[in-house]
Amino acid sequence: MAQTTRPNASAITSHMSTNNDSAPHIATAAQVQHNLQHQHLWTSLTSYTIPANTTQTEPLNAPKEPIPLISGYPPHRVYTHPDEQLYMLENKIKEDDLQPERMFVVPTTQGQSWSLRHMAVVFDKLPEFVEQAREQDGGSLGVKAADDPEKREQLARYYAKKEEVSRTGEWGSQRLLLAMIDKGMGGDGTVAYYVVQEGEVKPRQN
Amino acid sequence: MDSQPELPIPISYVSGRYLLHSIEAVTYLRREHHICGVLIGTLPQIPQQNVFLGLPLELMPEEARLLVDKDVACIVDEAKAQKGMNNLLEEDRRRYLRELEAEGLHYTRLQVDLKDSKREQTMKKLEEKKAKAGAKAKAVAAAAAAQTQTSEGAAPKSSMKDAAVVDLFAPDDTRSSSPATSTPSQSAMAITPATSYPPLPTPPSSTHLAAPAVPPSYPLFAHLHSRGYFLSPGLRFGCQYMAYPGDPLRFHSHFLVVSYDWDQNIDLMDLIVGGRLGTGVKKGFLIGGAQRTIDEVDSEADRVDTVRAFSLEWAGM
Repeated sequence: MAQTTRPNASAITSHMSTNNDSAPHIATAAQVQHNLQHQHLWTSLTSYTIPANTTQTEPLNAPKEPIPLISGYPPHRVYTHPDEQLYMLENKIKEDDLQPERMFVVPTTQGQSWSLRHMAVVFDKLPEFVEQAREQDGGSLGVKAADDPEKREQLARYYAKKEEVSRTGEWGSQRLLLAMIDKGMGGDGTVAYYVVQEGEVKPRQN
Repeated sequence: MDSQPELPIPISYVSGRYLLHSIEAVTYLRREHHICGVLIGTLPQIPQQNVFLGLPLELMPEEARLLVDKDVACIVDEAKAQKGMNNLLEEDRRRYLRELEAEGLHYTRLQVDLKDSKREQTMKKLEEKKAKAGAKAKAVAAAAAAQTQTSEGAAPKSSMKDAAVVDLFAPDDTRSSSPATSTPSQSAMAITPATSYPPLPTPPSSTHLAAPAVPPSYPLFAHLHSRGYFLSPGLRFGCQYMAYPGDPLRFHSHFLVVSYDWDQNIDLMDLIVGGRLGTGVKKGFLIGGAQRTIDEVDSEADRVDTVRAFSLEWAGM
């Protein structure tokens, strides 16, 4: 009789087990990271964790469970604010002219506890991680050198404008992606991504 | 256009609903305070017609509360206030009825004048036509002069007939031979006033009801309202409120709004459902709530300052 052997673990399972799946939030993050890397071709993926807090006496204390975070560079822009899009159209700036931006992702799984507290804490901690990532990137991705002097001037104006509106929140304030996976029945590997922004940001004209 | 009703505007509390009956108040609140409410009045004769509704305007408890908190409006128990009708002095009552009749007469006169001017215009047109026809006939053949005279004679007869037709539809003045000169004194138009606040004295502030009880979503409502959004009930889109960036007659809404308590568990599937629905109708899905519960602060107003809101859209990936 031929001896039956267990098949090899799938790529995602082996990826998750090598990434220390002792804590559920780490396993969720590993699966989302895998999806970002291989399905959406993100690069420079980095993981972070917002530590848990045992007491929630203040509204902005972190929740009872740690929240994982991932950041990376998407191959294309994930989100463009409608007013920014209008500015780019008016000034004939194409998306490819712009330097890529690091995007943050919160991995979650269906059925996990989530509340406004979680959301607010993530957004409050985000600037720290953005700063951390900037240091890590070390400005190596600096402004893309445009050959055309006219284009260079246009881009400089765009970045100045961007700097200006980041203070007023005109083109939206902080944003991140909420990734949700389904683990029920083993899951089908689908990850749903939603753009979450702080405050009231008008919708895009899809 | 820019008339301002006397403040505070009385909001009628009738069997659990907050209603406004004065068109002046409705337009003022919409223009100055971004409160739209929902028109719920239908026609007594055609109650099935529910596409275009009219007064009264029903306000959400949140809207009524917001107006009361801003000292723009007050809540009046309508049943109790109407009992005051019996205490009205006989003299006041008569004077009020006389005023109503005078107003009705004014409108009747306006209508009669309008009808007269219309009739004059048609007469003039007929006259012109006739003159033209006459000139033509003269130019064609001078010999047919006799014929022209007969046609001229016939024309006034036909216009007389026209007048008779109009007469048929005039209200009960068939006995007067010339309708143009009659001013029917006894057939004043009946006026049904929409509000009972001129005859009744404005209720004293001691009789006002307390500010309306509001659902837990009130802080988010008040927060969005303070940011200039117009809010309307969200049943149509399966959310709590719809947020419009300006008057709903001029703008599409920006957000489907759902409020949560600070530590209320949010089913992530609800975020996906809302985000997906919002994106499907070119809107954002907005969730939010106050950081403090009502037990932790003195008033609802303190909670409004602590509201955090987040907008969601499908990322398209």
